Amino acid sequence: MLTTYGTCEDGTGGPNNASGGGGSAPALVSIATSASGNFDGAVIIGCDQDPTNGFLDVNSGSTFSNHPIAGITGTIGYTVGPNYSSAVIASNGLLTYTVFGYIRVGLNPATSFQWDVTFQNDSDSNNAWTAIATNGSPSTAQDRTSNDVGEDIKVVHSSGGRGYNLPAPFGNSFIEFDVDADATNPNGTTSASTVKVTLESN
Amino acid sequence: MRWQVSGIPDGEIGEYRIHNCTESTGEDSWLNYVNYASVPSGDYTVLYRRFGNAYLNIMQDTDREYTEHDWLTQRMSGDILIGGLGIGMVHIPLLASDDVTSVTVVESEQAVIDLVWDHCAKDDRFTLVHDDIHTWTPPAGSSWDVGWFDTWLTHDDDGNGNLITSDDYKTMIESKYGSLITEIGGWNWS
Repeated sequence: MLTTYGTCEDGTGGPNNASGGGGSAPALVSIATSASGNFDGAVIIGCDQDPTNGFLDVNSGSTFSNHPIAGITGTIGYTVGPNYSSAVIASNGLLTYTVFGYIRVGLNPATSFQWDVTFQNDSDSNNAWTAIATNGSPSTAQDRTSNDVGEDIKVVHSSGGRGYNLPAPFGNSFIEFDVDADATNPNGTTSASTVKVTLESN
Repeated sequence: MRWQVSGIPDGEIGEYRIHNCTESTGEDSWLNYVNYASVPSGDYTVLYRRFGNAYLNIMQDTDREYTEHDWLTQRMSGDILIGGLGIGMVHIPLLASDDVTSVTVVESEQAVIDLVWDHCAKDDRFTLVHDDIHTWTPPAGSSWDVGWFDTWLTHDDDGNGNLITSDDYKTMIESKYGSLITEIGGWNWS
């Protein structure tokens, strides 16, 4: 998680605001798939080794929803088949999942931005993965709809002796990670609600 | 414990390559396997299959392989049918067993045969058949005491967008050879 100081999501109050001469920190900050319109509270997921969505489901952000308790969550599927296998072989076992999004600010414009991607959890009944981790440097740009947010999720598959081991299909493998974003102005920093992403086998 | 293969020279024909390497030298997939299987220091013979610019290790004479052939180790007697030449690793214990009457090795890839057969362990009990184990028609009257099938790779598919799992492979093999072989086993069969 990013260090949060100043105001919360409602964008009022905070230490900088208290001493800053009456301004307010950014408010109504959210992670979206574009600057306006659908989908707010969502991201788009890509895979560097699958530019034509041969195994990762085509996704637009439409699968994300906001639950009172779970928060913003969304699931995107991947199909463990020949396309997945070919991508793993061609990349020597490594798949890189990327995140695309936009940091919206509804009130009190921000002057700087910060993205953060954090790996949370994984499960695979085939034990195909030897390592999953966040990698890269997080972007400080508001608009990361064309280029990814800088940090990504790298998944290393084990080479089991007759080829790379592949994750279990049919919902029996998944990877979870969080996407966070901050918006800052001289009066404080506001964090968007975390977008929780699950990649799950079809 | 391992069956260490020796005498197969480095070479590459078509999509296949033999590389005598160590635990710290070789293609990325082999080094990945070394890490995954905790392969100790030593000299190893590795068979790769090439996909574009990527080389995938598909057979190696490691301790892990020895363990994965435990089923066969316990059944080295009589007439044996082997699906897949690989690096000829299982020839070593088969050759050493006086209980083995004959060994029939079926290999589909001419490149693998050219790289390995002349250099691997064998004697006059061994016969090579250049054919696909899935489509080969054994000579009339053939039967074996033991069959060991090790031709499945994790990326094998059915041509219709579906991967062939190890269980699928086992089912296909048992269906085709069940009536000809007394005991059937294979790599990674449960």
